[in-house]
This record gives sequence, structure tokens and C-alpha cells, in this order.
Amino acid sequence: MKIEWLSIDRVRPYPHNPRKNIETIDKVKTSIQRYGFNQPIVVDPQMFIVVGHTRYAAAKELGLAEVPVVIADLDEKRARAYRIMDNKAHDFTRWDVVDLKKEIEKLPDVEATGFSLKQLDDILFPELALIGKNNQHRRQHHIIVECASREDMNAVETLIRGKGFKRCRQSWH
Amino acid sequence: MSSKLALEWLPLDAVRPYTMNSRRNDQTVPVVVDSIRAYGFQQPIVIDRDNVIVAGHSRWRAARELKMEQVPVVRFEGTEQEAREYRILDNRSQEDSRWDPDLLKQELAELDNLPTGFSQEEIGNILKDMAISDTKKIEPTSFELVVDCESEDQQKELHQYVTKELGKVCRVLTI
Repeated sequence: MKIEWLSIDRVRPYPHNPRKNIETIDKVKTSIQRYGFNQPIVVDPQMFIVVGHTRYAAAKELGLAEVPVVIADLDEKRARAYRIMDNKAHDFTRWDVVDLKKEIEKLPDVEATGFSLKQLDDILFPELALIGKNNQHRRQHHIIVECASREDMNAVETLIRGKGFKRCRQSWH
Repeated sequence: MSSKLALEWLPLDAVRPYTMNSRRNDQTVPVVVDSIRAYGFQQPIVIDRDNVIVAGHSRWRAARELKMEQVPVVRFEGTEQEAREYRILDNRSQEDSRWDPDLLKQELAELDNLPTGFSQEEIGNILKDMAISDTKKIEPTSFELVVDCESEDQQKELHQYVTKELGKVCRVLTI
């Protein structure tokens, strides 16, 4: 393994990355600004990102010229599989709310941890706790609605959004 | 921001888990073991100046199970308090990332039997009855709305609404 500092322009996001990270970029930006770039971006020999799309996006937004990179000797399919597996592994990890609370209470700047005040209230006042309720690993729950046409899909989306489901994506092929 | 992020190799036993780590990774470690076996050790463990882990507890445990003698590490340059903050923030920031079901399906469909951390059953469910996109087609013939739900209860509620009130056909997908 070798860590190289390379021009950020040489690193390429993987166009079919199945992990979406738009909502994580701000936290990672804060992390880089406060604590530095501690975890290199892993790329395949074609320089496509395998691990670290969020770090890359955050570095771009921060205007960093160079990023630390590890070039992994993986062929295309293995890089694609590892890209999924690295994210999947994270899904199995969960908080121990009791220990998390102990840690957070010791910190002078609790919001530095990435938790919002509301979420911290939930942890610090366990009667309100929502986090850590289930011991299962994190799951995503989707409903996929079959629609007759593009117009139908638009109409269904409006109705479903009206019910409070804000995360909808259209898909057609 | 001045960190040079220099790589070192240390004996596994010289690296110490943080005793107050608030992440539980018992279910993660076997996945990371398989991942290291299949794809190698690609991400150095982040440690503080006392060799205590800041990021990479699962990798360290996996390395121990694999009886690796040495592990690649990088140094966290901040204070002890900053290490505590970063330890939580690093995990917290990963929680908001999500799978794109369409892209995940497309990727999984082409990976033969390479390990991905998804079980065969999960892969079957993800691939099941989802139309395989035909890039040659110009006019799309299949329109689907993918809705994310916050919980299984919400998923059930939406399923009920879509099938009973809207009279639509829908599928339930849990990843």
C-alpha cells in the first residue's frame, strides 16, 4: 500500500456509484476543515473512485488541489464489488447509545460530532430516544410503484409527496 | 489541514482499540474479513499519537481474525478531544448515505458471484422482477416511482395507500 498526494483532477468519480452521498457531503467538509484529510481515497488503476466519493466531493467543494490516494490493484469487476461491499459493511454497524451518550457528554462542542441538537436531546434524555431502538442493522425501505406513463408517474408522485413522502425518484426504461 | 498523512506499518498488537468506542461492529467484522480476503486491505487504520484507534475498529478486528501481523496506519494529528469528536463524526457522516436501488441492481446484476456483503437471498430480492434496462430502446415503456420510507411501518402504510386508494401495482423492496 502506498499513499500518494495527487491532483484532484486525476481522480474520477465512478459514474454508476450505487451509493448516494449528497446529504453527507457537508458533514465531511466540516470534518476535513476541522480535522484534516485522514482517510485516503481508494481508486482502481483507472483512477475511478472505489472508496471515498463523499471525501472527493467534499474536497472539490473546499477547492483542494490535491488529495491523498491509494491505488488498489483491483480489476474492474472486483473494484465494483468492493465498492458495494465497503458500503454494505457500514450498514451493519450501529451505535451503543449508552456509550455514545457518555462520549458526547464529555465534549465541550457536542455539535462537532455531526449530531444535531435535536438528536443529542434524544440521546441525552433517553425517554425521548429514537436512535438505537432497533438492534438490527440499518435497512432501507422502499415502495416501487408501477405507472402507466410519464404523466401517470408525475401524478402519482404528486399524490405520494402530498402524503409526506419526500424522497421519490422517477425511473424509466 | 497540514497533515501529510504518512503511511506506517505497525504490529497489530501495537494498535489499540479505543475502550470507549460507541460503535458496535460485531456484525460488521465478518463482512470486513471477507472483504479483506477478496479485495485486500485497502484502507489504513487511523490512530492517535498513543496508537489508539480513531477510525477502523472493524478493520483492526478483522485483521486480528485473519492473523495479520502488521496493519497499515496513518496518524491523526489533532488533540485527544478532537480525536473523540472525529471518531463520532466519521461514523455519523456515513449514516446519511443511501443506496440507489436502480444502480445497485445494475451493478449487482453484473458482478457474477463476487462477494459484496449482500446475501444471495438479498441479491435475489433486489434483482427479482425488476426490469432489465434495454439501452437500445429509445421510447421508455416502463415507468416506476421509487419512494424511500423511513421505517417498515411507513413502508406498510404507503403500500396500503398505493394499492387500496390509488389502485396501483407496487413492489416492496427492502435493502
